Amino acid sequence: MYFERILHVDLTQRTSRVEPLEARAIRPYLGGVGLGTRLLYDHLPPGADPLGPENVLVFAPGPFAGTPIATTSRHAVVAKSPLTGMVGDSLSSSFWSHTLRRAGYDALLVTGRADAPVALVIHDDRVQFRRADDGLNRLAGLNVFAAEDALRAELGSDEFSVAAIGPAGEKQVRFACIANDRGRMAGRTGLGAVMGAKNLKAIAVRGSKTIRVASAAALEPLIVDLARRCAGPMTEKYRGLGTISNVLVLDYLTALPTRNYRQGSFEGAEKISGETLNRHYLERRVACSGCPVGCEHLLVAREGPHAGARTRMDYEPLYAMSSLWGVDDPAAAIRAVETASLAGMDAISAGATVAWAMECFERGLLKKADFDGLEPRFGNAQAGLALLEKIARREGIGDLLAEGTQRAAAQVGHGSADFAMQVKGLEMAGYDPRSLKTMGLGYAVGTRGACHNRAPGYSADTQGRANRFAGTPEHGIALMELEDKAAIFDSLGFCKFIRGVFGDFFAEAATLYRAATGLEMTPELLEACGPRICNLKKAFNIREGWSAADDRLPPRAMQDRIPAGPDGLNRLAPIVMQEAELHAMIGGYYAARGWTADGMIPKSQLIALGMGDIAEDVGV
Amino acid sequence: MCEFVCSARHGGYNPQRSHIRLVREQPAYIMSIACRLCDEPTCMYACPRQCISVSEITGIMLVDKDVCNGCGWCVEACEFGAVTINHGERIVSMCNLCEDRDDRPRCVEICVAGALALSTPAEVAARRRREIVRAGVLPEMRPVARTRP
Repeated sequence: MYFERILHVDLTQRTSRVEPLEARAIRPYLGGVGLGTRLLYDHLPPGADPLGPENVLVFAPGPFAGTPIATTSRHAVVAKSPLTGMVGDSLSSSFWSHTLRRAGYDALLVTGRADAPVALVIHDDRVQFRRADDGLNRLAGLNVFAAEDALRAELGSDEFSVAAIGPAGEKQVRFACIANDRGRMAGRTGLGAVMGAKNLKAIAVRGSKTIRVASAAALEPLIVDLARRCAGPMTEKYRGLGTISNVLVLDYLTALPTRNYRQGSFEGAEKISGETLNRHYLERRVACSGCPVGCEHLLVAREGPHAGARTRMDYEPLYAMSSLWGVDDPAAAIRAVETASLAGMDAISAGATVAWAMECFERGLLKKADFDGLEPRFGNAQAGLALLEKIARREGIGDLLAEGTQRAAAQVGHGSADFAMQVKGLEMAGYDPRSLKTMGLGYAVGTRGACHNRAPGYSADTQGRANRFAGTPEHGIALMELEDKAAIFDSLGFCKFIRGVFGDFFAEAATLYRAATGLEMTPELLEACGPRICNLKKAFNIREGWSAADDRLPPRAMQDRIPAGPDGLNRLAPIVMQEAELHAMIGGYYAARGWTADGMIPKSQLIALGMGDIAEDVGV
Repeated sequence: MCEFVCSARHGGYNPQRSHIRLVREQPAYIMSIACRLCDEPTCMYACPRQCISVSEITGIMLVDKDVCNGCGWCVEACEFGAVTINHGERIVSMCNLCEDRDDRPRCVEICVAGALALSTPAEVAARRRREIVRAGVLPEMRPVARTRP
């Protein structure tokens, strides 16, 4: 059941208060990303500086966090993104989410800015601000793992769960992330920089309250049944080889971004494949709290120059720090992802920014002197690693790169924006939009920029639901359906890795929701939450100044053809995303959403979605 | 998952009330620990009010709730950290193997990873024997013994 309590913390005044929020008011947004976005919309002054004290940082667990409903120990972090200037919503998981719930809150809302680095400690109803820049356990400057351990040691109890930023967040690197529970990250859209700008180093939570459910008798068999299915064949990909198995698949589809998207296949793909990494580098597999899938692949380099490097690895960080750099050394990729993780940076954006810098160097736009003597050619993993360190400390060229590719390209100029592979400021995930057209559309229209998680178009492309070679208006419908379902997963807190285990997802999830919260919920009501949440995110962006010109792809995706693979394996004809093609898909998408031809939301639609209160702000 | 379902016996979920607790030791060690059902339980000997006894039938620790005052000596004494003091009632509780259930303990049932099992020493030994026979004989008809008698 919901606690119907939102904890508001003002860092400027160092005060906190609890505000009631009725369960009925939460239900249309479910929790997680939906609730977080609604709280952001309601509390953020329009046009606020993302790195200013006015920005609102919301932490919102899903409504099932703290129950053993499989994979739902997840929380959303939502704020105005310093990378995109639009809605920044990112998900993380494991103990922190349900510990915050057990402290008795449905969400935590942080505003203001502390005058010195602080750690926020929440233990049930007690809220404490501790200095983070002095004392025996000085937190400032520590990497995310060390900060977590130090704060927990200082608080003297394992019952505390800690979310912290690393040095990158403190330096307000625009793609800094927030880490919790030794390696889970709210990674994308730079929310760690927001936390850093607020001088908030860490948030420790401890909860002793009990998560009550409306009907334990109804819930218990459902929980056991769902857990069994989650451990079954539909999640074997994630448990077995893990998402890193995508390397060879995408390489075959000419969709494995290589050398900053100059190529769609990588001659070294075999060496960095999931198969190779599992065989030679796997230490063990780990699960989040309350998850029967256990997808985390903890990899370790045991020998060579990177011996001892150890990190959790997934496909997107891997692509961003191997094929995208033209690097085929798995140990170097493990070291690179470890470096980014410890510093508290989104590995996708960090890797993509380094790849962009490599291309600038090869083209002579940035010189050896600009890099303090480094020669970051494609394939030079050492230089890539050194750049990551520089970015985390904003040292030398790192200060420029810490701004992300969009802002860095604006400064470097000379056409470098043409190959800055970002949309709205967010760097692309590892799926080439030229050979995966629904994904390309998702990147273009996605509310948080070029993201594969909120607008997961790739699944329509790879599973054959849409023609991945030729974009049509129908791609817009396919994408909308995927986005709506993703929004519900992100708000209920389900992990998308179990999307395959449901028969009738809406019926099952509605039943779980009823039994857990005691509120009325039907499959139809639940399904309607998807469009509502997606429209709300869009409404937020419109209020922050979005226009149709923001829904675009970088020139490289539109002009530079992907060459066929060097070994003849990739028989795909060279292709681009054509202007007319993208235009048709975007038109189809806006129409499917019920938006105007230039992507605005009609007032009548906002009213129909139950958001009449915001219709005046943003509706047309 | 085991912590959650164990705590559910009180209505609602709270891992702090669970009799089985998860330990994660970084970077790569994870284990769940519950009452070991010791033959010579230190918790029993430590209790100054003699409110812990061992069931002669099932071997589980029995706590006399009327006598226990939550002093926590048993918590100090248990080498496995398997004794819980419930915050609300302030008395001790320990794993009772879900003896109120006909089925397996809740934690074992929910552990779809198969990491938990409720076994007697004899059953463990029997399983081990079967494993070694399967591993040694079925695939290649190899001799079973790898040790010298």
